[in-house]
Amino acid sequence: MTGSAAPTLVVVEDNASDVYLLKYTLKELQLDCNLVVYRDVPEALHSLDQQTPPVGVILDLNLPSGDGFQLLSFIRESGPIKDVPIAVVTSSESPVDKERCHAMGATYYLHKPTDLDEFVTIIGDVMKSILHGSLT
Amino acid sequence: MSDLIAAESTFLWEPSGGATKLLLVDDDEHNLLALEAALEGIADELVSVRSGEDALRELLNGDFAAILLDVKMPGMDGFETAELIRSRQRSRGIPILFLTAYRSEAHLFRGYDLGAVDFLFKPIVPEILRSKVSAFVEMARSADMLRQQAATLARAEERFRMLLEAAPDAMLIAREDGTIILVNSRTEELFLSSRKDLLGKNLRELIPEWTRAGQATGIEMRAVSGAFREFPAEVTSSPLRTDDGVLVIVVIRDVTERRMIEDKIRQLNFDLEQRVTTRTAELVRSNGALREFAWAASHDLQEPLRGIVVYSQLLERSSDSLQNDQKELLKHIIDGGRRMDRLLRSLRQYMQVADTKGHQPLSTSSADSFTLAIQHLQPLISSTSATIEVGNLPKIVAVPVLLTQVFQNLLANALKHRGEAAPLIQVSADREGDFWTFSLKDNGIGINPRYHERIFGVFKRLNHSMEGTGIGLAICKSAVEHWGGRIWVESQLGRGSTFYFSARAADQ
Repeated sequence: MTGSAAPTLVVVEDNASDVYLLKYTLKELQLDCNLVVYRDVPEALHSLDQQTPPVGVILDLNLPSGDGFQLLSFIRESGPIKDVPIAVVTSSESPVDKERCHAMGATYYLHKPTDLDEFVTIIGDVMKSILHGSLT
Repeated sequence: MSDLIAAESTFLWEPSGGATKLLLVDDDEHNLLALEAALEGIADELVSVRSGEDALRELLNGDFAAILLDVKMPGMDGFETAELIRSRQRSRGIPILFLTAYRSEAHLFRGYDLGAVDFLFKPIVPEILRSKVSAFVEMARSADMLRQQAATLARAEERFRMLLEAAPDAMLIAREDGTIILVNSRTEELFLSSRKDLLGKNLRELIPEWTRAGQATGIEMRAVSGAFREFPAEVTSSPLRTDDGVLVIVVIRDVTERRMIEDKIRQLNFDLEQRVTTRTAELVRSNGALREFAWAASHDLQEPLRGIVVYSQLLERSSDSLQNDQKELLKHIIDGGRRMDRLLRSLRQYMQVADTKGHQPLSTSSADSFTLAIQHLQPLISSTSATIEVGNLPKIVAVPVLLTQVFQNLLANALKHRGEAAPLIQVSADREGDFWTFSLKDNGIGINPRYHERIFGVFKRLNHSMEGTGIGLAICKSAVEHWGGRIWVESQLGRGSTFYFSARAADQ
């Protein structure tokens, strides 16, 4: 791995349009990173150990074959990436979910905005801080 | 029973209704006249006859207090007449006084043998005659009175018996130890025994719980009728002090039917309560299911909606080749999507307030909640150049987060529905008994009174040109009612509105 290689950001998200939006945000903000996308929990569990450790994880809560909480506890409790920042990005507005995520070690808890500019601003800020954090 | 006799007794001591009569029998008219003269005024009537035959004839016609009978008469003499008088049932008891000139002992013995009560010797001494005869007249009068008393008593007893027999309840009289001495026919029916069998039994054989001859009114006890039947009975007893000792009057009413009806009513009530409980549980369940459905639906709609809005925005920006009118169409799509987004959000917010199980009302500083609401609304307050005047706000029993929401929604409404002039909102609280009433008075466009109830419903927007979802007041109502308060509005079109809501004071 060379110093110039782009950092890896893992996204666990089943919704293709959200994945598109994340990529759009990276492009808009001219953030350079290698986005690895898993579409469900088993795939993520299987692959996380076998690849370049990511600088951070963007996690949806509502996933097929399991849920984001499962993955959150898996990452936090084991393996080489247990200390990376994790941003839970979800459509859930439940305060209970929010509290639970923080208790389980989520770094950020973000509600998916229903506006392009808000999405780019809010989600973009979090991606920036994850990526920049990885450079220091 | 005693009352009945008392009522009759007022007649008992009146003079006898029948006249007292004396029968004078002598063949000598002079003697008769002398007797009549001597007995003047002693009796009500003097009947004089000249022979034994005539005397017997008179005795057929009426009762006499006494008979004065001459012994020596032609034809049937006094002794023969007396013998016949004695032989007749009707006249047997009438005292006979013989009038005679003979004082021989044989003569007297025969007279007494024939039932004479006395002898008067000729020549008659009027004073002796009067005193002897008047004694018999008095005796006859007393006897008559006694007969009448007996008849009155018999009538009274008959009435008592009829009353007793006609009574719808079993009525008994027992001695202090419970020995039954009188029963009515209802008792026979109720206990399936004849009067003969019942008399002499102890009350405890009929009512095992009966303990003593005390006063009891409508006590419910178990009654035993024969070997196989028991029934609930209402027992009333009262002691009666008599010369023969304490008696107890017992009234037993069979309350089987009443008990059955009561049981039925109880059962019906129980069934009704069960059904209400079941129905309520069903309603609670279906309410919960509805809430969950509404929550899930609003949540699930949010996702595709986000896609529509965001991708329309992407499309809007991605291409410079779009015509202006195409951009206009996209703008409408995006606006529509945003409005729906706001609706879904506020619907969820309303449901969160409605689902208040987690929010116990507690002592809350309304001043703190108000300050927080003002902070949230600062941009709107600044942009509308609004003035907000606020008095002293008390501590109340409420839910802090909901109270902030209420202030925020009411203030936002006042700011949004402002008139031409810069908004002026005056906020105060007044104590009324255990409650505080808050008022928020604005100088806005006002609300037509016909909508004053409707505006607190869900999605009730009066002015569709205004932004907003029409759920803010529904949230306020739900919140205020959760802590036991009330919310209402006083307003006229064009004259501003005053919103009121109440809450219990926290200092009691």
